[in-house]
Amino acid sequence: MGERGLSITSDHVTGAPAGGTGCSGASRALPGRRRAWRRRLTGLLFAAPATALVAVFVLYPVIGTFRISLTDWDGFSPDRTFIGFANYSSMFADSVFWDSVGRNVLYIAGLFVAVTIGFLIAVLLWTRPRGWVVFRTVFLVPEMMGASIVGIIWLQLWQPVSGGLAAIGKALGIPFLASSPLANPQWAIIVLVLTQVWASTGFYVVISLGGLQNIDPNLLDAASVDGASRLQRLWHVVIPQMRPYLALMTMLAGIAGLRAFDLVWIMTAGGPGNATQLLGTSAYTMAFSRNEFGQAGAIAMTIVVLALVFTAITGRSNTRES
Amino acid sequence: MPAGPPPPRPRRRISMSRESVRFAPTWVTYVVMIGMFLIISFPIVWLLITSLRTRQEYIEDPLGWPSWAFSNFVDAWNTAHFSTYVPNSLIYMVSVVLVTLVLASAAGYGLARFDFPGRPALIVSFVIALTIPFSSIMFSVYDVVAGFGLLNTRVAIVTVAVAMGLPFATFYMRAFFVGIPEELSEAARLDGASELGVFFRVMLPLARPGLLTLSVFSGLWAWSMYIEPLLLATTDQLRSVSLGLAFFSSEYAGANQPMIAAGIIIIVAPLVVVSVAVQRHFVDGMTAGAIK
Repeated sequence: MGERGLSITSDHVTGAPAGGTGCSGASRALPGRRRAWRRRLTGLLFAAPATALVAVFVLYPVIGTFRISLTDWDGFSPDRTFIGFANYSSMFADSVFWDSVGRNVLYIAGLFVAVTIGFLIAVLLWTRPRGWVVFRTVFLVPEMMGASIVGIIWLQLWQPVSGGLAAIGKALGIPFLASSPLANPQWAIIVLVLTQVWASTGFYVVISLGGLQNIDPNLLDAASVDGASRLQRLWHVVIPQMRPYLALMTMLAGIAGLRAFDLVWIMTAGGPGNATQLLGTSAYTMAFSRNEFGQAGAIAMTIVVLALVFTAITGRSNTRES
Repeated sequence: MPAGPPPPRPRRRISMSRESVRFAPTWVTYVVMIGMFLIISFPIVWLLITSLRTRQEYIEDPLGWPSWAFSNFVDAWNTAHFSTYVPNSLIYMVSVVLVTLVLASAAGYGLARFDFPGRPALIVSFVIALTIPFSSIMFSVYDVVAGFGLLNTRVAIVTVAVAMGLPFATFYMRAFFVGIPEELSEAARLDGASELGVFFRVMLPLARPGLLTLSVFSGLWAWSMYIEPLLLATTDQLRSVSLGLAFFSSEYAGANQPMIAAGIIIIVAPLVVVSVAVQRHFVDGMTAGAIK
């Protein structure tokens, strides 16, 4: 699932799917100090196994990545010489790095386009036209398949000569389709971005539909009575009401863009040359093709920092507005 | 206090007749919907048709009608070593789902119902963990796994996959437990139930819809898992279906398109069937998880 970890930006994100607003029993006073102490221990014990796993395999690796980034480790030999921030300065001096940053921005922009299209389609589906559930199901299929399988499928469609799109291009006289754009340094990244848009739009349709469900239609009625046009209703009523959802989808899209790996790796592995390297793939290439784990660590830390900054910005604007 | 499952989430149904939520003429809506339907289903339909044609037919005309060449499926199954990858992925899927359910519901319950030292810090670190892309920590994960001597083991692949999904799963389950009335567990405690008893006999049964949705989520993730086995296993024996399929399809690309198409269909068909069957859970989970 490309967008693993859709969700939840702060503590009060509870909202029970099944029960409305429950209140946490944590603050409930209990008689006896010993019982209170026992309760605390119980809570800790319940949370401990998951915490341990996340700490060892997700949180520690962030520190571990940072430590690796300060060395010249090749990934295999026992010696890891500390070289300070040398990996970072060579990274910042490397044009391949900056190109991959630029491409990653383009990739995220593509996901923002998917958010926009998804939102607009959801607005159209708001009237629940006949058969909309069927359409919603189909729209979700790419998301459920996961980025890797999406990549595998589209790679086959784009096969030069023998692929489906090449055949269609030949039949209909569209030379572009038959020109194997995935092998073209200029077009490859565009094709990847479009594939990602294909894969993600349905997901944003569904999230947007969930948001629209919570808008009171009376607001729109009132606006209609006041003579607001469709566009005005969309702009002045729907979009402000949807702001938390739009902020959330922006955050998810940004993180998904920084996370992007499977689809790109399967379809182009960063090639041709380095023409489709994103941050994630260039870190992987650096580590496993060139055995420069230290350098890869520096790129990886860039991804971590960008992801955290991005979450902080969108999360904050979200809470401020709501 | 009446026992029983928490009330269903109230849903605002918007009637079709409401003119103010109509932002385009109905025909525009249908054109857009059908357009998107075609764009999304096109690759899958192409694969399906291709998978049913012989290699020779495909070479002569890649766009012809299917001739019901089911042998492609047998060829793909054998050539692509699916008899290794499919059991692998089933093992990964079942283990990831079970471990995720146990750990996430325990942690979600702990966070929802108990105050303990370090709880706020724990929540913050789970939120951070939620945003960390796997592609950025994989070298260190590789390092950690190697340090435990677990490279090339199923345990490592499952553990890492579970750990990556846990922050989301924990928050998701926590939201469920927060919605269950406190009185129910208090009553059970007064009846002498242990904390574990309260959790297993009272809370978990009430959180069943959440557990179901979470299984769907983590099961789909685990089935299409790609990067974990790519990173942590060098042997062909441990590959997941996605990884195996990726190798297989690039190996035979151009040479035998119908066989590749059949291979992809073998992996995708169960996904699509399951997706359609459980899509309500999926949508609910996604909407609830994403927003609240």
